[in-house]
Amino acid sequence: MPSYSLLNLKTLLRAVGRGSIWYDTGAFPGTGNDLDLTHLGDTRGAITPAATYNLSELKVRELYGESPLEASAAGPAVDLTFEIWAADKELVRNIIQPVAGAPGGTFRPRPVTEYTLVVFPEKLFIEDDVQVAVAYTTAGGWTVGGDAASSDQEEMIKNALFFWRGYWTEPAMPVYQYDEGGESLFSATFRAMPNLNMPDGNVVYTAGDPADESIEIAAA
Amino acid sequence: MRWDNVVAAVVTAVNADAALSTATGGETLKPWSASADIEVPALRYEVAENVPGESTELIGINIAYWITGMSAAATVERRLIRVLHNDEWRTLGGVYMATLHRSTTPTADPDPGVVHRTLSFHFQPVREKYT
Repeated sequence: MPSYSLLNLKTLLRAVGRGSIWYDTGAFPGTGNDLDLTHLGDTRGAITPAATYNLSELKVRELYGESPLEASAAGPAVDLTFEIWAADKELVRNIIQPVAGAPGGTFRPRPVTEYTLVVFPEKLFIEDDVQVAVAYTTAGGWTVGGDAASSDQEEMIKNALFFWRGYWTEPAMPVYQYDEGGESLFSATFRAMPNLNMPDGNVVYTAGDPADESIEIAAA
Repeated sequence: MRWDNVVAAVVTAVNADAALSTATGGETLKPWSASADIEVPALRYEVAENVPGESTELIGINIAYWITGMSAAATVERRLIRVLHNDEWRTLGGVYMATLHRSTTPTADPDPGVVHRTLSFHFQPVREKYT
């Protein structure tokens, strides 16, 4: 006999908090390679991933109306949008660029410059208001500040997003103003691309710990 | 919480300004206190607001001055703005932050001939966990 009971609302996870964005140049070569990540910069406001599928629906309107009898989904296409402080000329000129090394336009179209992008919950890197390093080894798993990740920290890693290949849709440009201390905030969009080196089900992105999907992001 | 770092930076920068010191006859910037009388000339500050943001923290500091005569008042005010305002983020007293003069408001003059005005500044360093 099936039995149904409510979840305990007091223990439901409801918040993730601020994210931090990390990048590596080039698409990730596949499991068993070191994923070396650099912190992209400081963001303000929400880091929002938006995923869409191309849906193909078989409808038998004479019988079932608009309710699809069968459907298949292709995708997802994911855009990650966020606002980043873009005052650092290295970030503006060389990193957030559809075509690296040619920030001001080219004579002919060029292939985009590919990146691997990871969003971690920021609190993973801060223990008792002190910033710590996060590391991963195939043998030992995740460590935070040199110690094995606690169960809370393992939960935070489950809220990480790994985009295995993608590009920036617009070049970052500085914003000029007097107000707000002259702050330069740029709206960046990272568009994920399929990475065929990744296992089925993780071709565009992996949510959570890649090891749970048999993806090792370290050589050892 | 970074107002203590910011206050230290502000007090050091203001007290180090030679032109301001000359205009006020060597008066230094002190915390505003309800229990102590004001003797003209005087410079007082108070931390008026402290708003934690996402990765930065906004700290509003009001600096009030009392001085005799308009031309001395203009000098004091101009020097305070010169020392404490910058269009871009910068390092002041070891703290990297935005330093902005937001407004100046006249306050009731305590005595004839004394100019008493309050300058409002915004300081915006990154939050403590990122320092």
